[in-house]
Amino acid sequence: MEEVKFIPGTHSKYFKRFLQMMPPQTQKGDTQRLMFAFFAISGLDILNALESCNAQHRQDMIEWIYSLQIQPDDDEESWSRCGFMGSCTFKLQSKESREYQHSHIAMTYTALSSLIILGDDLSRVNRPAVIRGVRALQQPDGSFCAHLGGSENDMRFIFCAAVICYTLKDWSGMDMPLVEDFIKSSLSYEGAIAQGPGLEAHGGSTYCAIAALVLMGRLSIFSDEQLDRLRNWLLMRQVAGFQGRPNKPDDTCYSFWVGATLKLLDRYQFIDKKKNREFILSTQQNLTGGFSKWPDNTSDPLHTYFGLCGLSLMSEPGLKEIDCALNMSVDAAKRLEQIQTWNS
Amino acid sequence: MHGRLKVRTTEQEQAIKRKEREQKVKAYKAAMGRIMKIRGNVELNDEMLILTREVLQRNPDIYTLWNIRREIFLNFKKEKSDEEMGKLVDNEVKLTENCLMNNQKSYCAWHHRGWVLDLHPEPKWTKELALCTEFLKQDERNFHCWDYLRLAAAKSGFSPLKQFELSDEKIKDNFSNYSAWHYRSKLLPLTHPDPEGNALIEPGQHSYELGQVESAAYTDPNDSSAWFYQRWLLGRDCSVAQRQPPKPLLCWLGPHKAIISFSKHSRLVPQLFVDGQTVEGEWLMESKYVWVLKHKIGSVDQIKKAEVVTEGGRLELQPSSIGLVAVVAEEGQEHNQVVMDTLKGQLKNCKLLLTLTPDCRWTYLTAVFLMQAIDIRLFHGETMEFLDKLIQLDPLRAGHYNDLRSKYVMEFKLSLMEGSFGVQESVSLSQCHLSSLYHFNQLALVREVDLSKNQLTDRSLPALGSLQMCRKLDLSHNCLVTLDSMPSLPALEWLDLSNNELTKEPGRVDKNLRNANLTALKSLSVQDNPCYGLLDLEDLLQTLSFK
Repeated sequence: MEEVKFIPGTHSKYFKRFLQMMPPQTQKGDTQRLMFAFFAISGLDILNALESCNAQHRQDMIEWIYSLQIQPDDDEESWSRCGFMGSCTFKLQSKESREYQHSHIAMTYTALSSLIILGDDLSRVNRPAVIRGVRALQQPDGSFCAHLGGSENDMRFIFCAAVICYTLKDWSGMDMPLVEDFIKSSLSYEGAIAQGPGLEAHGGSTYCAIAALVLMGRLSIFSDEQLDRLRNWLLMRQVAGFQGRPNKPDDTCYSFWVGATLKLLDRYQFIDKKKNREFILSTQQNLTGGFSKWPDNTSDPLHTYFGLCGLSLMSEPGLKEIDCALNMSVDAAKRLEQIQTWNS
Repeated sequence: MHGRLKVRTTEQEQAIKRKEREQKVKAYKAAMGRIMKIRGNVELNDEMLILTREVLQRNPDIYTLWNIRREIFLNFKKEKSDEEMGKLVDNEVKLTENCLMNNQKSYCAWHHRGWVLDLHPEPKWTKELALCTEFLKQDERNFHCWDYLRLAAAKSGFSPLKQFELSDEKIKDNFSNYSAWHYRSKLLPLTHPDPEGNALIEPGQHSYELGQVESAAYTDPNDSSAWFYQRWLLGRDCSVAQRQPPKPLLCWLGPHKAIISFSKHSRLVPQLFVDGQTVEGEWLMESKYVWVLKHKIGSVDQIKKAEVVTEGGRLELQPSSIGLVAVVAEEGQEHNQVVMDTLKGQLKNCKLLLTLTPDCRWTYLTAVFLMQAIDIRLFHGETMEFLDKLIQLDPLRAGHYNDLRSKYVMEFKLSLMEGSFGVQESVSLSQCHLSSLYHFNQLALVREVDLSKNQLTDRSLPALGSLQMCRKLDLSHNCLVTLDSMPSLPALEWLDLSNNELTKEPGRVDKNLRNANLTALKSLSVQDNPCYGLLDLEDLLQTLSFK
């Protein structure tokens, strides 16, 4: 079989086009545009292509993100709604209808990360408001909802909460012991972590839990034995690429979800890199750019971003190294560290 | 993101599609605009319901629109009669069903369905179970549906036992049913707890479960879910798991120095008492498991009583040829007779299965775990054979199996030393196929270690930090490259690094050696390495001893 060539330039073009205008297939994601933007922004950063976006464009993006921030008003209750929205679809003018503007935890997370990657110093972020908005979403069982108006609650949003608290260096945004309890009770018989208690272990939720614990400095809630069982489960996910659960087909994004977790648990060196790379590249779309979840499917920003991350974990030339727990380039993570030192 | 297959269309078809999409986008924007304008206006609730329904049927993932419907329904609850409420909720439930037909994995649709059904005056939760069964027939792995199934079962007032029977049905239908094993693993401790409190599950049921797994494994040995379930049944989660604090394993007190090695990472500073007095000095965590104390006592010969106090207990030290020492044998996995018999029975089954299906890696892997749990020494040879076989059958995970090998080899060697390892003068681990280093905390008092002719990489260097009493270390014939994260080894006098792959990169190896606190080093070999000839050994040794 002819070896597929990695075409970073085409992927940069894909993301740049995406930032200009989102294709119609993504209409369903209209209210979550900030998350899509994050895939493109962080993706371009990892491709070393963000600097080539002109400075004005980057500044415009920063302004757009800040325009999605929800500020509190005189009402004490309004603090619980704070954070960032996913798009201006629900941007309301009148004061009465402002009580309907709620942040979405994944949008708050991607907003902060995108700002850092774009070179902003987070000075216009209303930190106490964001943190209170996050705390308001925590459920009695320790998990987080996405949205004050109500939504499902699971491991994804725990990860979002952890990154937000870590970024703003303010852990009052979560009751940590409760989060630990939820994670522990989501450990399945297979030795890996599900979206919630009683569910099947899953590569995505396992990443969310482990990355959150690493950021919280609490990986020690698991014994060495439990971590070994988890490592075993993760290593068993490689089929060629990686699958998210036993007996499911491999899917590009799991090269990151499972791969990054293995990196965090110091076992990434045991994967078969050649097969993993071959699989990821088999989902590369040479005409349009981007990666899809399976070969012969349309590419989308999520799989493009995580496909690139999957390649970066194997030190693919031309790609930046990633900080596995923060899900951004090591460069951006260092900039965050700098910002945090300035502020203390 | 759901996989969307690429479909080729003609130019004409593309043009038509584009126009359709444009119109859809226009309609969407118009609807959203109106929705935002009238939100909160109770009089326009009916219009609101129509508008949001339109949008949601195409875009079921817009949280806010579901929230708006919830706000309206909360209002309805206050004003409408039971009969009206029933009809409204029924329609709402139908709406979620339409959305689910569109996307069976829509978080919002499942969430809303569960929420709204609670507002029904007479919710038929048992009907929901039937719905779940239908959805699961189409996709057994739909975890949204499984989550909803548990909700429906709980709301139906199903006891854990009844839910357990549900899972039994699902497994009998199809053994390859991961989610069902799951469900079961959560219910078993509730439905069949061990009355004695010694284990998670009552022994009779435990055996039954193992039987189920056996059937599953015989039906399809390549189905990993059954093997994982079996491991869980046999593992320590199912025996009362006590989270133990780090225990002190080895302790040594000599002139100016004391060393304590722990069973696992200990964050608390230990305390040393000699003849009733605290010994002052500087405690440092030299490696993950080892604490070292620099103290002022010049001679330990006259000491009558020495004791170390840690978060995991106290140890009394006794005089020995090398100073004052305490050694605690680490408890291996204690299994009572019943468990042992179970494990042995399971191993027998595995071996039988291997005669029927000799190429199943899961059987080999399970057999390896079982053998290591039963008797490390008895099964060492066979374990190594099976690991070789695993590498053959499952080359994708060769690195992992070699890592397991390294662990088991170490455990085997330690089991041979039994008791004397604490004060052993030297340990040979040469040519042991080691690619990783495990249990080095057990070698904290050893003076000579031979690790030559293995496959060690830089990654293994931190484990050597436990060798705080080691004078002679042979690392020749390995795969070391940079020596990054070479730990601090102040007792080391003789180090052989020959026949590795030490890099030519200017200053790299040199810097790492200088940072390793090798203040006692007298002899260093780096022959047969790319860096040989570039390192000024004499100068290096001189500088090191001045530090």
